[in-house]
Amino acid sequence: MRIIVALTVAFLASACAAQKVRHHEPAPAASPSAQATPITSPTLHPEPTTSPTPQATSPMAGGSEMATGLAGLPAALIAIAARVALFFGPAAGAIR
Amino acid sequence: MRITSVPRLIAALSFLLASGCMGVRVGALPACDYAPPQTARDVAPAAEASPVVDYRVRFVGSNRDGSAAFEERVGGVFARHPILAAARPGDGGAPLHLDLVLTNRSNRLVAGLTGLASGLTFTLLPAYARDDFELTVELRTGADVLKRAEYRDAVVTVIHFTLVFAPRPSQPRAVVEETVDNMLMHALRDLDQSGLLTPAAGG
Repeated sequence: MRIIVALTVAFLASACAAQKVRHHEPAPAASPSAQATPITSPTLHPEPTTSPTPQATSPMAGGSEMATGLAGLPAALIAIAARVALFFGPAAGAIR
Repeated sequence: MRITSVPRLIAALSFLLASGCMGVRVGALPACDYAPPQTARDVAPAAEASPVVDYRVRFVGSNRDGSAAFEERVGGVFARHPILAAARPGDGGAPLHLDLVLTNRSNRLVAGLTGLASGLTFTLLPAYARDDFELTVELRTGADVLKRAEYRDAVVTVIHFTLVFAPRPSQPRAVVEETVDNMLMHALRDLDQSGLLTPAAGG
């Protein structure tokens, strides 16, 4: 029963933390083939591309980033704590 | 622990850990529905050819990544314009030069404190942040300033567990980008109406 509860906590906290702290991750770099592609049309700028993993806030909004980052911090800490408990709990039991 | 309490516990945990955020444009600047002309001749009817324009983009704010994000928005908006679509980043080598500076001022102390309090209470307490944007557009030819305009707007971000069902267009990122695009469209409309984007103005 405790394992089910712990797994549920870990899953929910991980999902929540991943959603909230995603905006701290750097954007994925373009592939080398894309970078090497010559620009054939000098007239148009590329349309802004949407990231496959949309970030919660824009880097242009510092206040919004600060609020969402700090609001997501406790969830991230819980996720870490749940994972540590899951890892060390059975290990400690096995040692005993 | 009884078996029957597990679903309740899971529901309670889901309730506590799920949260949402929403951005709201303050609306100091009205929504701009300006549609740029289709061809350069529509902008400058007497023009034989489009003037060469270069531009410089600068972001003033707390996050260095904001510069790239702002440049991306400028590129996207300029692509809709027949003359500015051909503009390239530069420092004034072209006859006409556009300087675009986006300044972001935010109440980081309030945002940080309410964000932390909201996080510690699993967003039962709401977090609040306000980002004020100021876009300064300067059109120059050589050292002469032909036109200078400023546009101001703001975005309020709220985080609360009840906003988990907020629609995607209300996400702070989408609202901030929409706000910046709206400011840029205002600038584009004013530039077109001023008639300065012509070869004669560019010298």
